[in-house]
Amino acid sequence: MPLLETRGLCKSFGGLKAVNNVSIAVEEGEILGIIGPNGAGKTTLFNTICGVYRPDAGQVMFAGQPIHGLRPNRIARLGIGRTFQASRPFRGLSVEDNVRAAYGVRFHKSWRTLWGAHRADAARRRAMELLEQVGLAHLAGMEAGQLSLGLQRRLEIARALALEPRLLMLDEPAAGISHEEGLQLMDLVRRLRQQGVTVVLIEHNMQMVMNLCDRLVVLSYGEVIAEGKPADIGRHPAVIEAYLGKEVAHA
Amino acid sequence: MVIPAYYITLAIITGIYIILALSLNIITGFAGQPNMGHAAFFGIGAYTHAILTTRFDVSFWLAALAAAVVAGAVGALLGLISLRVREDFLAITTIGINFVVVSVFLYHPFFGQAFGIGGIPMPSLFGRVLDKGGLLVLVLLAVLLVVWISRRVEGSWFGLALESLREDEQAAEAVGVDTRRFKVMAFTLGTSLAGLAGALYASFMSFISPGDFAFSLSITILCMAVVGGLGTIRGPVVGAIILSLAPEMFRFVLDYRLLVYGGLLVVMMRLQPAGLLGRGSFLVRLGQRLLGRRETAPVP
Amino acid sequence: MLAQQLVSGIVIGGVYALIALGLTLVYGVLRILHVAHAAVYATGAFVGLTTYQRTGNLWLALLVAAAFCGVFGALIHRFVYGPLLNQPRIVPLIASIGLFIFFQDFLRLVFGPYAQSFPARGPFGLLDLGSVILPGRQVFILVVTMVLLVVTWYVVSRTRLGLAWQAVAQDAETALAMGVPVPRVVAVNFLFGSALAAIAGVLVGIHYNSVYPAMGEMPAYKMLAVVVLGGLGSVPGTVVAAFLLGLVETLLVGYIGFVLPRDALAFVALILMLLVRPEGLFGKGGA
Repeated sequence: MPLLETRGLCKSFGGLKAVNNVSIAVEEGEILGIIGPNGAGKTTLFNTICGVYRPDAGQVMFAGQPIHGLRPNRIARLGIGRTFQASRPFRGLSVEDNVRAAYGVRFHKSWRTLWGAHRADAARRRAMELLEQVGLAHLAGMEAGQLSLGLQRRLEIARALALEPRLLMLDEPAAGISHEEGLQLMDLVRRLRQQGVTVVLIEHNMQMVMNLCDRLVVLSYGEVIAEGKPADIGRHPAVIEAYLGKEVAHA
Repeated sequence: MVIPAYYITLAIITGIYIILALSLNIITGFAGQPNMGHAAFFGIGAYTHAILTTRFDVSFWLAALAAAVVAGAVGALLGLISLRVREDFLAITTIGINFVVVSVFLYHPFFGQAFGIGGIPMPSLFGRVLDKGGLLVLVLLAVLLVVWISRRVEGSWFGLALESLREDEQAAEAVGVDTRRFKVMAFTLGTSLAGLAGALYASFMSFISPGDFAFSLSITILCMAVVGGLGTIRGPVVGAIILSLAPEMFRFVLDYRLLVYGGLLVVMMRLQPAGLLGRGSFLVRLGQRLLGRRETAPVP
Repeated sequence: MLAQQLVSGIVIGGVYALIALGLTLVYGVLRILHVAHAAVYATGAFVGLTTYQRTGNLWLALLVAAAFCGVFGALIHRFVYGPLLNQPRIVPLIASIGLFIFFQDFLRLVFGPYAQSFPARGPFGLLDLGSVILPGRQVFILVVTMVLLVVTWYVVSRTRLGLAWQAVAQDAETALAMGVPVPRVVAVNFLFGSALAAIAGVLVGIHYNSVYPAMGEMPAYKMLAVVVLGGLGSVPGTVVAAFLLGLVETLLVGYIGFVLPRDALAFVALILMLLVRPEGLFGKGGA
């Protein structure tokens, strides 16, 4: 059974079909890349899966359970973590508090613990562990808004990991970061996979996509136009057409 | 030692303002939800207390509790409304609620209409009625309570959840924070504390009328919190003290009071929007330099 | 009787529309709730009154008020809102409220707290349509209001400036990237919206034959309700909501008699609207 599955997922805005009958399956333990030209609906797909949008039609199944129509926070707690295209840390909070805010969800089971001091040691330790993983532990006290873009993205990942997700969805994690940081990111993603986290990422950085992903799904105008191994996708005429136009594809 | 009645009155009013500013801070400072109608909940608490004590002979203590509960219940309603309505829309809605609530007080016979409600008794303890000095002690205890609550919130998971939803609601949802639940909780807590202040006010004044809870008061409370430093605890406290004592201290500018007030707001927002004691404000940084401490690590 | 009330409602609605338009124009491009707009409105009334007292010419009064307040509004943008654009939204809002309080008191200090009369007649005489009788003043207000609304409609939908405004209102960054002179559009916005408010101030002064410093108090927040009702940032929505409110207020209070004070009506309508349709009448996208 695939970890995440969408069946005939549709989402429209006004008359525009942003996601049109998308059916994909993500197997546990794989790194799946979602690529496609700008405006193909990749982020909308993410948003629909994660509950930010309600699908107009179709289903989303996570570990066999339907999650479409659930609120985003519920989906997050069920085990799907995500980052955003435009990096969105909690700017006014410290790096550490960013992670703790996410981690705190584990404690919000009862009313009593809601009032528990969040600066307690156990929570601190866990937050620092997560920050170590992404290499931000030394900046724990810093205000998140002051971080560079690359570091903000890493913070978002640490934050998403605080919920111990089974599935991590990264939206253009490599956008706007240096080559060096990109390599570190790829390392991180591989390490996460080794720890048992399934990763789905939207990316434009072809080098990263080709080297990192086990499989690719290509979206264009809201529809899946190709699926398969990176090497095969690179030669796929429909994909080339989507990116470069008809003439080039059939040249 | 006999303290002149004037100072006691001043202290009580200031204390009530502090409670109002701190309670608003929970909603607008911690949770980031604009609330420009806070005076309405102050009024709901005051009227609840007044009606219970004058018409139903309820004791001060029970009536004060009821005031907090009723204000909190209506606040929960506002919290639910806030789920459908965001930011600027919400700000205007809260203004609307203020106007509507005051209108209801003004026009409905049950609330005494324009005549208000009078003869509200002072609290009595062990059979003895408290005097103004006694009420002052009570107000101070209430202030301490609200400060304590604010500090507990700030340091708790609840507070952290509020702050995360203030910073970025969508991101907060994405990390599992049930933003809806927490928004409603913030509104309920903040408004119920305002209701408590209302009970204290009603007893103190012994007479209340709709005009006491007008929209201009909501603005005043908001300004106290903002000028002091929204989102901190010291901010609203200091802001309330400054803005409630200033008119008294600067009697000589009484005629120009509003001019100064308005000008102060504009200047503050231009020069120090975080508030006098807000995070990273000039005064705060100065204090830290003098004390050799830093709050968050410096930018590398 | 009903027809008379209807016309009264339209007159008031037209004035509301003039004031609220300035708010919508500002909100559209800056996303700021320009509470100080009501100070511009009140200032316009006083400038108009003073001009009329000196010259006896109503048209001149309108012109001078519009010009003076146009500049006033633009200055507010230049010195207060402009520098605050990167701050959290509550900051310019509080600054706007501060401005409003300041200028309202300033007017009181300069002109005294008491109401002054504005006994202008305007060029029109009594209009007798049988079931409806309109004093010349009201006819004048109606004419000026309608003309200005048509002009506004034309400017917003047909001129380059108007299209530029729409572009900026939709997506300022893209508009800038496409060569739209955003700062100039915003400045002209303020000029135009403030001029409209000033004229509205004069018209209201004539209508009630009274100009006083606190006259901006109610429009300050009631017009916000109108703007939200119509859909924040939507010009047609604002106009429609303004007229609707004017009509409802006049009919409900004058014809039927109503439980709540007239001014609370706007907010009751607002709350109901927000529960049913948070985007407002013509609003786009969710709240």
